[in-house]
Amino acid sequence: MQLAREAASAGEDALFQRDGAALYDALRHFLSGQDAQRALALDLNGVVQADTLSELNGVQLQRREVAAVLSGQESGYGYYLRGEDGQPVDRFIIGRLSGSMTSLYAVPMTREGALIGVLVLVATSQDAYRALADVQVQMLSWLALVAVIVVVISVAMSRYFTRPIAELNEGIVEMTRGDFSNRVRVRGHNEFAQLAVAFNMMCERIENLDKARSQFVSNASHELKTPLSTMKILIETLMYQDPMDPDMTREFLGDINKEIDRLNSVIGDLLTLVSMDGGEKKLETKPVAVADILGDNVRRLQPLAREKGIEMTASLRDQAATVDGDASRLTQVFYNLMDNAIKYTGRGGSVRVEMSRRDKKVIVKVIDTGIGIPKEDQLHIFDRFYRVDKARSRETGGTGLGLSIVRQIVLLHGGTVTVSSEEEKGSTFTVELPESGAKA
Amino acid sequence: MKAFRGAIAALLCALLTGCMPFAAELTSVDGNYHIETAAETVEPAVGDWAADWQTEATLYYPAQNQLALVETRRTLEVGARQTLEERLIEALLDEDVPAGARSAAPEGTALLSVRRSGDAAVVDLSAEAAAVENGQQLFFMRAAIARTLCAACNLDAVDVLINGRAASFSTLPQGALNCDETPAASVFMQLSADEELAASGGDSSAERRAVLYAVTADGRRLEPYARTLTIKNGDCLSALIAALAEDTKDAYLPAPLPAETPLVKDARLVDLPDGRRVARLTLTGSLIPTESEWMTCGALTCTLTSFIPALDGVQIYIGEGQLVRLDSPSGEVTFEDGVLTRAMFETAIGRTVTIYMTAENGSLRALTRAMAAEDVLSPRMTLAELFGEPRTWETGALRVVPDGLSIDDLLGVRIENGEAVLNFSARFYAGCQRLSEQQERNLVYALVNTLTERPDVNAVRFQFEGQAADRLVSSISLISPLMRNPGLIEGAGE
Repeated sequence: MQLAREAASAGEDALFQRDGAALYDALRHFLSGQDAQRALALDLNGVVQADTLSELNGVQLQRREVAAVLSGQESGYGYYLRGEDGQPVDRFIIGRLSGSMTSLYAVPMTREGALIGVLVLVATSQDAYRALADVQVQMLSWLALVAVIVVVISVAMSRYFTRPIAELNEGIVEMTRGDFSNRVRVRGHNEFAQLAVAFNMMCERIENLDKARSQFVSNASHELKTPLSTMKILIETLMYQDPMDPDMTREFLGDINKEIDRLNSVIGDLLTLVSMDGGEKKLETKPVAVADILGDNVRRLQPLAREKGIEMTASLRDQAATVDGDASRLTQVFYNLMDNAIKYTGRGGSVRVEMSRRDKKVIVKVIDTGIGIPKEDQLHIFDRFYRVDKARSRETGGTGLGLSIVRQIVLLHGGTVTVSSEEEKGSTFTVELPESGAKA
Repeated sequence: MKAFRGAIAALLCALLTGCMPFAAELTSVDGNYHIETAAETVEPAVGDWAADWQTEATLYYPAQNQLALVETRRTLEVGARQTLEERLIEALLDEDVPAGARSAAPEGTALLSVRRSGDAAVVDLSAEAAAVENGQQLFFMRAAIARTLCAACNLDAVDVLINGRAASFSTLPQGALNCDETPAASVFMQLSADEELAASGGDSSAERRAVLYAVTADGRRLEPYARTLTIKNGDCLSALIAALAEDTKDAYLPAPLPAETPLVKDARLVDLPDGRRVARLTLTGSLIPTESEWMTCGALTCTLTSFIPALDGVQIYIGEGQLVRLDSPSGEVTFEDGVLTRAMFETAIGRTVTIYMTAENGSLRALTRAMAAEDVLSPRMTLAELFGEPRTWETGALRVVPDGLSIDDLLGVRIENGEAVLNFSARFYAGCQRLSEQQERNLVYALVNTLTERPDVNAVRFQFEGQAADRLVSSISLISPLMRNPGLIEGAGE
């Protein structure tokens, strides 16, 4: 199109002056260095006034490109097939790749801004069309390649994003089937990774809870079944051994009664734990003097210690220290700890209770010189029904729930309970409770 | 898929060419698009009439220092009964002299005639032109005239005479001036050097451009043509006679003298007792056909007097007798003193026009016809040649006008504003209806190209009985005035 404009510019003066020879020479001279095959100069009636091939002079070129320019458009162009006579005969059929094609470019010829004619440039467009077709094929190839790449990337991206979700879903499905051991693979550090970590943590907890629940049920069943089995044997003996010595009968009944007490204790502790777990039992908190509770408990258990030949002492400093708590529950905590210390300390041993205050905390230590707790058991001694030496502890009349209750109560009071122990040397249980007003 | 590819291609085309879609309001007619034409009312051409016209021309004047030419651009009003060449010389002699220049010719100089044939022209100035101060002024007067005519009239050589005689300040002729871009001062220096060499009396050789005169093939006119001569030792007479026998390579202008057998047995310059200087030629009389005797003598006389300085005429001897009587087209002419002068043949010197007829290969062939100087301005006279049959020497040329039609079918010609309006009869229109497409094109453009040979015609409009017509037959649209079609002429583009 630029070529046509230049050709028009070359011939405008001659057309305006109606100098046919100069117009013909100007167009031929212009085409001499160009690829265009033909140039036509038309007047305002569309009549060819100059043709570099001198074939169409005088012909009114009724082509839409010419009409477009004469109607005021900036340009017109079209593609035509060439006939046997070499003239354009038909509109270019889009999509047809073969045949000799000609392109017509029409541009205005002007003089001082006024339209004085039309310049039509005729060029073989076969090469251009082939080049265009090549570009088209290349574009289609590139488009196909890009489409494939986009699909592959989309699939990869979708898989990248949906895979954690699928794995999460798979984990959930496994969980619904009761398998809490499944874990999701954590990749990267994005939101999906955080979700996977959270999910794994949740699985961990659920699994632990499930294990604990199973252990608990197993332990509870065992703890409940043992006295029942004992009672069944004693009762069957009483039923089928006739005549039965009255003293023996009395002894058996006494044993049955003990088992019933034991059963009652276990059930009582279980109910206590359940009530604390479910939040049914509300703490009746008020400032409590810990020293008072400790003193009471020491006094209550002093006879038992003396009976077992154990020296029981208390060192209660900062006696004015108070905690916001439930006095009866705290009494139960320290009673259990002192009772345990007495139970697992041999004759000649000692149990010492210390109280101190540090960093707005009231610290109570129950220190014994008993049999101690193996290292591997120290982590589990606060678990429900966990026993270090199952036969021995049962002989001592424990339910296996005492330390669990201790920890639960201490936790309800915002405190902590820890143990440090060495076998055959003794154990130290430390309870730390926030001092009154420290919570705020 | 094809549609998709096509759409991609169309989109790419639009992007690459920056074109907009076509206007939707255009109406389709049989696959083409009908273009509404602007109706233009043109008065019927009744009778023959031409208007004065204007042209832009460059005039050249001698510079004040007589070493160069000064050019100036002028708009000239050319009269209807005046040739462009006449108007240009008239302007040079009459118009205001531009700054830095001097008058082209001495005061009182008038134009006697301008004779042009093909690419050669001869300007004859009045005797006042001889009042130049020196050879340099004479040369620059000639140069100014020659350059002015060459620039405007597409000429190859221009000769300037003073009162029918070649003007020169030396015995060596200056000859015609070429229309090239050689600076006038350089040409003058070369001429001066040649003159000095010739005057020294030694062997010399000088080249000059000479305007020779030939008898047209139909024997009716004398036509000037330019040739380059080599003058040895100042013998310009022999050089001219030899040149007149050389083939002109133009069937319309055969060489005035036979080449094989010398017509001129003897030639010499003679000073008569009355002071006139003549060229005395002794001819082999039997070689001159009686019917062309007048024109042949005219060709010799005009050629010699136009070139040889200060030559007043020619004396011709045939055998032992001097030629004192000749049969001219207007009757017997007797010249008692036996001196043939240029003035006797002035009316025989024609002016050529170019007409176009069909060649064997279907193109248009340019044909030259000599006409009386006063007829050359008449478009009808020119077109009459077109309506006639090709001449015998115009082998291969075919008449473009259908049989049975004559110049009388041209009802009128009007030339105005660069446009010639040809008003043909209904008989002409009817007579053309059986023409093939090529015959139609050749007829139309023979008329257009013939008329646009005139400097006052750029385009030709056609009427029939005073009415405009869309077409003559089928292919050529006549709704617009048609411009010249040089590409249709035989040999164009070679």
